Amino acid sequence: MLFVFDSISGFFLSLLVIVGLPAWSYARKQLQATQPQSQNLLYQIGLTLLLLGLLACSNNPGLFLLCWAPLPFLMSRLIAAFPSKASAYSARLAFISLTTGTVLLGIGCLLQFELWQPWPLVVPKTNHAALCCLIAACLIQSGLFPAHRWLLNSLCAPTAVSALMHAGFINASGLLLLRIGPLLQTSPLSLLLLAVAGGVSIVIGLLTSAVQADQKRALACSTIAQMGCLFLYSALNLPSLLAAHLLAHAMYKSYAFLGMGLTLQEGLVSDNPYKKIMGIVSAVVFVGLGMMDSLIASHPIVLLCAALLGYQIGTAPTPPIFSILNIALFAGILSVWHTFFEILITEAPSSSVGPLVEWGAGAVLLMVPLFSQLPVRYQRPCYAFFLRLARPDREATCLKRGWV
Amino acid sequence: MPEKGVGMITSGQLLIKKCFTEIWEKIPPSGTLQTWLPYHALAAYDTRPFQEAVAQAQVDIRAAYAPEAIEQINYLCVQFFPVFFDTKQASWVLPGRSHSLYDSVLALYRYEAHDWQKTQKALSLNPLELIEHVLAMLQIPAEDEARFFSQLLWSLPGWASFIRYHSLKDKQDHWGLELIALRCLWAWEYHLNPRELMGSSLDNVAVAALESLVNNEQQAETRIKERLSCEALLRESEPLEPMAHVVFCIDTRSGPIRAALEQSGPYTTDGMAGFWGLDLALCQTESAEQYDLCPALLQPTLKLETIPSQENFFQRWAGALKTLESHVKKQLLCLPLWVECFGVLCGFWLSLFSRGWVSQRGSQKATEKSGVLPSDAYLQIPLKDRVRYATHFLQNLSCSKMPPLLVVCGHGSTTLNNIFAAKLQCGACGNYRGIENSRLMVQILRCPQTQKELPWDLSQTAIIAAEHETVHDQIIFDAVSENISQSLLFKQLQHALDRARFEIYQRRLIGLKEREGASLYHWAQLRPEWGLAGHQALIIGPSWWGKNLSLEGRVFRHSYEPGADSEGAILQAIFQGPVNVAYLLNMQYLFPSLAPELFAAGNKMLHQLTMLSMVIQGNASDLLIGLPEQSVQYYQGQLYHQPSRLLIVVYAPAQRLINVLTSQPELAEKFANEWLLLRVYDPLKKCWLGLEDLSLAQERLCDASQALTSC
Repeated sequence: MLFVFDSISGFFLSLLVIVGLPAWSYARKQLQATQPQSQNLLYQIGLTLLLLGLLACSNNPGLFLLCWAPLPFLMSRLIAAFPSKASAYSARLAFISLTTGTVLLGIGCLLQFELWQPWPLVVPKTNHAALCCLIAACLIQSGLFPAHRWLLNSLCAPTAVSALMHAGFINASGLLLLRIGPLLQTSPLSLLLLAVAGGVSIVIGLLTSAVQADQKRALACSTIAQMGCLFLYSALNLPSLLAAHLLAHAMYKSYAFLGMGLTLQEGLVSDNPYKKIMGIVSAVVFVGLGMMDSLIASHPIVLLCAALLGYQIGTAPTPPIFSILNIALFAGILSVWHTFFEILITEAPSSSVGPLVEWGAGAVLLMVPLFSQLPVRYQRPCYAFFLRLARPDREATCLKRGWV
Repeated sequence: MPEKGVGMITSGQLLIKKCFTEIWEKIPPSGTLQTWLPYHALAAYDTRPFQEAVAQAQVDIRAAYAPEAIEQINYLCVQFFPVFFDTKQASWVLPGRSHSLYDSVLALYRYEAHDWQKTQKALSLNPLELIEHVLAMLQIPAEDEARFFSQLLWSLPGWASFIRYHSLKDKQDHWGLELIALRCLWAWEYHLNPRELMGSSLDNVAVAALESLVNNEQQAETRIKERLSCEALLRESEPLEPMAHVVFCIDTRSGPIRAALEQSGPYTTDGMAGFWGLDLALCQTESAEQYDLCPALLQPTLKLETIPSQENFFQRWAGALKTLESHVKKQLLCLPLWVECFGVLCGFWLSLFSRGWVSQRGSQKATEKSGVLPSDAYLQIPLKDRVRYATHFLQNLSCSKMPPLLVVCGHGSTTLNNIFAAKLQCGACGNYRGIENSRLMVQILRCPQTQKELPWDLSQTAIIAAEHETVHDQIIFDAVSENISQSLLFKQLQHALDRARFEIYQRRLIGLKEREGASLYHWAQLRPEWGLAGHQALIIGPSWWGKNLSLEGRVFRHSYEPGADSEGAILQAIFQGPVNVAYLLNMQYLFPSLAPELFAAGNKMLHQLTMLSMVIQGNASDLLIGLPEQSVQYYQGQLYHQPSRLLIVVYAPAQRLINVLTSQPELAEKFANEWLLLRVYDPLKKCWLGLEDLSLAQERLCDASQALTSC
């Protein structure tokens, strides 16, 4: 059989429906109002969605590769939907980067697998070089550091395309990680590689997005961090968390891009006299829920993040009644969401490098908020560094205006 | 950082500063997406004749041919300036941000200096010294300095005017000089050839555009004059007793519903500036942010406190979620897990609302920033002022006897996910919805103490506030009491309005060339309505005059009864307020359609917000100021708003106009320089007069008076 419909493909297809259709409808609506004569953009978005769907359902590395191969070309066409010198440069950059990724994917697959052997793959001997190639392909596809340039230069695309890219297209790497997950666990080298790439990208993504004044660029930087999370989950052998995070992040990003103008509306702000107590209570609630979940309970980083998140939700400047509701809402969502994915995607045996990766990543992560607490003398070079890291190339910008 | 040399300002530096200040004052302040200012793109030139000013501006502003090095300089500017001015988006603010743009930016730039020696030099000098130094190094002679500065500024027009706006708003005059110092430094480091920057020659390319502009105007004028003369000659007898009288804003969008309502029954309408003369500012508490609900020309004197808007539980919860999102987003460490919680909600929200299947009007209302006026807000105003406001309002009405039902109807636009939403709101209310002003005016008029002091008898009149929702052309009544809402008069009015709405809605859908009706709440909606695009003229005359024209929605219409204004004071006030506001609105639309490369704000499909208050396009670009392409064009290159200067048509005796123009020399100058066009219909002589006729008449008058005095 060429195609398979299991829990992984089902979850990815539902992602495409939730995220892809609004983006398609958004592009269609805007094109109707601006250039009804040219509908190329729509066909290209449709084709990308179709290929991603086939990718999700493909039952073997061969078909997976075939569906993956045209994506770089399509994505570069989409980025240059509005032709200009700048967008041509961005499209070329994306095309070169993504094609390199595709070539690496091809090499990895050829070295390691029989192309037409169905998932889950059973291989006689793990080829470390091949797995590294596959990881590199994922890294480029997700725009992780150091392959982040194509992603950060792609903001000249129309908003709908950006939404599709950040919520659909780059998640193809997450799909691949899920598919080859059991295999990765047999190679400590590749796990280490995943963890390092993921950890570094989380730190860089969070800090670069924190310094941005441009809205879409901040979103793009945070995508890098979120994709880093996927890599870390994969290294820790947490496929269900990976899938849960992937889908939730996709929905968040497509909302953030498509609903860009909604950020201008202001929320309901009011003083909450009980905010300290609520923060602590809600931190306890979040940690408690995490402890009840056997999977999360064994991962102190996730618990720490949960505690912090709980505290922040409790201390937000909203009226007390809504603070309580918010705590209940998000605690509920989080536990239901994770349980759902734990049932959906079965676990593999636990990871061999788990504790090492976990404590390492935890130590690095805790440094993130410290940067903005440094004395100005030391803080400034860090700030300048992260500002520069997320900058678009000069050729990818259009900075000439004048009375023509 | 090395210590800066602190010295006296030399005379050379003083000259440079003077020369720069002259250039700097010509840069129009930009405002943000919400604010609009009493300026337009060529405000600095409007003391000259229009054609000459445009030609001169074109010579001054011609950065399009600027050399490559300019792109590099601009690139650095658009990377460093946003982080200095940003207060809303970034969670990690610029470390060690001081009041000095120059110091703050150099402190970051020094880590990537292109030419370390030059940067070090800059670090040791103050902005003025640096400019002097760079001018010497680039060998720019004193007579070319002004040209050099102006080219450096106009090659990044968006940022120049944004910094000018902020230096005025935050009272930091030195930012202009610091901006030019930074640009000079980078020009020096990247070997900008000043002769290339200044020397490019330019043919008079705007001539063709200006010719078509004049053509458009002439066509429009002929048509308008024909229609209006017919109406003036064939004046229908007025309905004896109107059942209801509705007061609208002069806005072009109110025109169709006014005309349709008048045709549908014994109803009369009036048009006047939609803030009803209330120079109102709202704030939630004494110290909180202030929202000016009056034209930018006025300084609000009426500062009132609001209460949070009345919302249902779920709307308030949505508001709380919004606050929570912006709160948690700033905490870096919880971001990954937060995205998981919130993402699920977003997915739900996105699927439900993004395609406009479900009306989201409620959630739009839930986040009105300013709050609403309490029902006893009028008590915060002293009685004397209340009487003054009421008198001003009532004397502009055309009805001699007060009708049984008086509706005060402001307007507002409900659009979703639109960063230019403010531009669709009421211009007279400072780009906010007009409902608050209407509410307050109704409160003032209903107040028995005020009524006692007024010469008009309002005791038999039911007064209601309403809002004209311009996207759907719907009239939404505000807080109508039980006995009014049950009365036959009110029900009939509602019925008439529904019919009027149906009629014009049909007409508008044809104009939009697509089935917009079903998807106004689609998040991708680029053009929920055309706003003021397509406007041609401001008609000042009796309320029956211009009815047929206003059905098309292309004219502003201000009511003016020449008979009731023997002293000309009302006309005077109209020329002071509404004419000036309409002039600025006209300029807002004129320049983006005349020179979109420089004055339009690019393509909405590619926009992103920067600093949560301005718009840029693509990966990075100059700040985009003004209206986007989609507001003035159908498609790429096909204009909907044909550029034209505003034609002011007045129904009044010539003598009264002459008096007005002599007492307002600034406005008279604008007419003389053809920034505004004036045509007067003299009801006594039944003929049309232009500005030339008026000035001729004026000269004759002067001669006569001189002859008299000499006698």
